[in-house]
Amino acid sequence: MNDDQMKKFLQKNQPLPAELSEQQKSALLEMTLSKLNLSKFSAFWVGLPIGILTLILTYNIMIGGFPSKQPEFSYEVQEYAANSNNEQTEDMDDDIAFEFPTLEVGEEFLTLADSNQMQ
Amino acid sequence: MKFTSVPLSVGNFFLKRTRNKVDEFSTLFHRYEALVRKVIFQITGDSHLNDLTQEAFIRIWKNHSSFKNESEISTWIYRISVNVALDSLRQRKRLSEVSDYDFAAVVDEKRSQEQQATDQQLVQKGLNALNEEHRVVLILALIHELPLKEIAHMLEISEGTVKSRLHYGKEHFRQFIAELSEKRGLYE
Repeated sequence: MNDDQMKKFLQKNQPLPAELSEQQKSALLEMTLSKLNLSKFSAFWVGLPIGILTLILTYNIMIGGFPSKQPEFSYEVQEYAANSNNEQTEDMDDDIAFEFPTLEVGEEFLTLADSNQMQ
Repeated sequence: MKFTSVPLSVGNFFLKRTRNKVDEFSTLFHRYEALVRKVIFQITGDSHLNDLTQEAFIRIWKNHSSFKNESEISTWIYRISVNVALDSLRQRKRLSEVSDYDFAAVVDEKRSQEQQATDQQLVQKGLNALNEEHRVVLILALIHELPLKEIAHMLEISEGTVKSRLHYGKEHFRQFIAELSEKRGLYE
């Protein structure tokens, strides 16, 4: 058998796999697509959360403009914040302390004892 | 754009994009499925042909975007199919499975089986009797008629090595056919 005869013999009698039916082909294609995450089903599950997030973002923009990191205050609050300083704040804390004195536990007992003696 | 149509549009965008990719992949699959299966089967004679075909298409798809024209794609498809087939053979060897490529076992089959064997089975046995390096080159050069230069590029070896492997492949194949014919003659 020379080279040319061998080539013809091989080509004529080349081993061939059993041909797949259309159904088998479709099944193989579908399995490969799902392994590649290309199926329409996976697209739905990717699209759904993104769609929901977009909906929420759009809603936020519609009701309050673009969300910003700085909280917005009314004019009065901003004015007060600009004119106030740390000392004033401390004074205010003292006033509060004066208005609402804390009652020591010992004092409470003494007061109760006095009232009993008076009776 | 209406407020309520936003998520639908985003969903449609993703669905359309995926659908395009699915169509593209399906076209590629239908065009080359027979070729990929044939190459893998001829090299491995494998029963896991569908799994290997799937593996080849996954590799093809992951790299397909870098190929511009048809000839490059077909070379790439041949290359991937050959690599998948060779990987499978190596894996089988590692797992110490019973080799389908035992020359002695093939030759010493029962007389009746030999007589019944068609020429196609004879070719398959002859190819299986070769070592994988010779078999791959013989299949690509003689059955698929690929140029030696392309085979060298595909297998990442020199053209000289391809010629040498082809030469030894042919010799061993001839030897196999001759021995089998002699054996048949003895039985008849």
